[in-house]
Amino acid sequence: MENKEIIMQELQEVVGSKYVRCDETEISIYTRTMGRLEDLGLRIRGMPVTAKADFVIYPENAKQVSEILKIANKHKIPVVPYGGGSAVFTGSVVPVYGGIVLETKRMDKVKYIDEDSLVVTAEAGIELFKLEEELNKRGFTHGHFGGGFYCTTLGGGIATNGAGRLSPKYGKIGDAVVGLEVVLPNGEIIRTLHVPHHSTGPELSRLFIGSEGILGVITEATIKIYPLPEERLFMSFLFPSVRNAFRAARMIIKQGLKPSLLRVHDENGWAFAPEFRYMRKELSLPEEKGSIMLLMFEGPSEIVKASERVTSAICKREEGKDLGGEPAKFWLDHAWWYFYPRRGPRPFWYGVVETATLFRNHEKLYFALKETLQSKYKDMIIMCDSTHHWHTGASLYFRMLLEKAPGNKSPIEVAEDIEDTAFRLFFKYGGTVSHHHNVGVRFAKYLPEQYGPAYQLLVALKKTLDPNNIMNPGKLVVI
Amino acid sequence: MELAKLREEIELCVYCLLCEHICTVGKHTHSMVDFPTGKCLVLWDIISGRRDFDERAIDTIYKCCQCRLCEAWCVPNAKVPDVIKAARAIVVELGKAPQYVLDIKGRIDKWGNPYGELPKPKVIKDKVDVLYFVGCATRYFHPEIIRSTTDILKILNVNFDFLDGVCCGAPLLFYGFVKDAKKMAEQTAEVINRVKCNTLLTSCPECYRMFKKEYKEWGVEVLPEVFHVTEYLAREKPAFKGEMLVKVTYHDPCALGRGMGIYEEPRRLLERIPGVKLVEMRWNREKANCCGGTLGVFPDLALEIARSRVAEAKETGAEMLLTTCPTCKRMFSLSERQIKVLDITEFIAQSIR
Repeated sequence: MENKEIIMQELQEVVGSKYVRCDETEISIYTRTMGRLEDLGLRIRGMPVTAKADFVIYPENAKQVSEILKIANKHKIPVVPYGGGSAVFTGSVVPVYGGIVLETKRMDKVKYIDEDSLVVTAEAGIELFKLEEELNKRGFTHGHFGGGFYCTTLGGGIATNGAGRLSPKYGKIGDAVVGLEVVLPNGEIIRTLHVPHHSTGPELSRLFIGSEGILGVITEATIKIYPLPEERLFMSFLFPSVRNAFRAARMIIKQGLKPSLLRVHDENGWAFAPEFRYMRKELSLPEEKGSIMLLMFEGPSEIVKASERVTSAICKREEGKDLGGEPAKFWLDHAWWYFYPRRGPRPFWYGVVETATLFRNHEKLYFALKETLQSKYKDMIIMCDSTHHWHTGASLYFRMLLEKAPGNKSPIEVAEDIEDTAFRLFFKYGGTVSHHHNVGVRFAKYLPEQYGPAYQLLVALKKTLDPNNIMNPGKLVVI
Repeated sequence: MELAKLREEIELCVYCLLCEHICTVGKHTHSMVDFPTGKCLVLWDIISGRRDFDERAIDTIYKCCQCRLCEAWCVPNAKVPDVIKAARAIVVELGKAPQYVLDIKGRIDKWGNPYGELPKPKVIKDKVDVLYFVGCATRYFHPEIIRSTTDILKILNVNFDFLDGVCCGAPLLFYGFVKDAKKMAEQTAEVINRVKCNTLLTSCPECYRMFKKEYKEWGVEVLPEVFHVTEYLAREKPAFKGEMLVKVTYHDPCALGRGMGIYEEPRRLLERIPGVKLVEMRWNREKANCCGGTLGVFPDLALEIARSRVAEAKETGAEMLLTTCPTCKRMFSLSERQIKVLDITEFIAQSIR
């Protein structure tokens, strides 16, 4: 990099020398998401694997972020906003073209909790875990318990539009946004309208939700909060087939029931997923085949009990065997258990693709992808979880496991082939490249096809707001 | 290389970020390098021959409290603290220990402990029931713990003497001077074993852990049965005088709790005191946050960590923060004293009959 010393000096003047790093260790760790992807056999396609950050910087407020972006614009160097670094599947925080990694975690204060308006305003670098702790002290919850709950930051969650386990009630984290403070690529600090809803032009916050840091840096967010529930009631049903479970889930939504947790795991998921093997052992559940549905209702006791009665009737109509509340409770209590690495030998390949589509395509897409992949990879175990149910449709989360190599293919070739096959089918059935994992650098090439003519809007936004293409280049929209 | 044996632990850790929310150091420095996953990535590169220890790598290796909180949350129990311990030994062996570590070693060489001059070991009785091993942190920073402990022993009519001015070797081991630590352990064990006694009592959880675990692993025999003072008193069941109408909270020292699994004895003791209301902090027992006390070479960071634990204690509404470790007491006392801080023995000495 040209002018590295000058840039270093300018950055130090903004945050102090302690908070700008360019030593080998710091740089390598903030570049290592890519290393992990390689190790997992998930190569970032078409990108220089030697990518390396030049600086890691730790600003403590929006003003400092603004100055950093001005410096980056002046020298035309990339800036990669960094939250918890948990988007390991997509490499959305990998500094593929070098430049500055902007670590946001020093911006971690809760600014205020408004108990009347039911909102919290916090700096974007606060971890969702810490924010939840602060809210719990006052009797509230934010409700967003995704896979990265222990490491995701508020800003990172919004920038990737993640979803938690209790999404049927609390929505995606993007749905919770009431207002944002964002530093635009030119260094301007803006605030979107902080109101419940409005009819005063487009909702500008939506521009930044899921934008993966390509349009600016989120420095503060005001999101919805909820009183901690009076009661929680768990339910679990084992259906003879995933078709019955899908039908029951659709009926629960159609009837206007509002579960906090509603998940369907298909027959292979229930049979082979490590969390269910563990659950069956711990709860001494019979080794019975089927597709499991896990539910939780929460809120005032009368509403919870009424919801239980209606749900129970729906599930029984679809031949669901009532397993009681314990499996669902156990699952939620161990919701992060299966994200931890395991000891022992690793399979040849393990991977995930996930999508969302309308209910009219949901079941068709499930069977189409399963049959297509199974015919290509006969020994592959394909498990599917319908993890997030919305008013109009649901997500599908496919976990795939190959114990042994299929012919001469390498793990990378297997990953690429499966993803490509999956995305073609997703598009055919109205699905998306991702429901909550985001696009990052790995899947950016599919976006023109995903959006069609609407892609030009994304490109125009990027070019207008960030003419020097400094913000997280290579991710989401490639220009 | 000892680290290579720990490769499995390192590899487990580099694929995961699920202790970012609790790492005592990382959540204060905010750097990915300082979380267990960052430290393990650095070491993974080193054992794979991709790079060597640089200044920042060494800095992060020493920026670990050894509190074992990451291990307590980790589903596969990745033994990152052991990895760090092994890495420090290598740094020392390679002659790359930073100056702040060498300064501590120099002080230990000079005074036999990392803090300063302490009384020379005095001649003690040949035969006692209980030998009270004072420990250097207790003597140097909080001699009032010695007074309260000996007061209690006297009230209980215990035939005891105390061994003062001797170090167990924990600081040497902590900074990676394994051979020196072993040597010190042998010398200390010899002094202890000269006294005919059944019980060796410690105030400091780190001394206790050293005697019970490290000495055992090294084959260094300590003849008497070793007890931490809370363990001993819970067994002795002292009688308490009238009511102490006070709300207290208890901080689990890492070496006693996660290090040795002693969580209930101190609580049982406190609950037996009439009138005492024990309220728990949000994070307690195996998930208790650390006081930061072992990070003496990074004093600002250590203090910040201590302050956040004191804030947790204050949130309980307790009037007193009790602990049973001289280092924890020191850290809490240094952190603006927003709450009264006492060692359990001081509290008990006030209420014992």
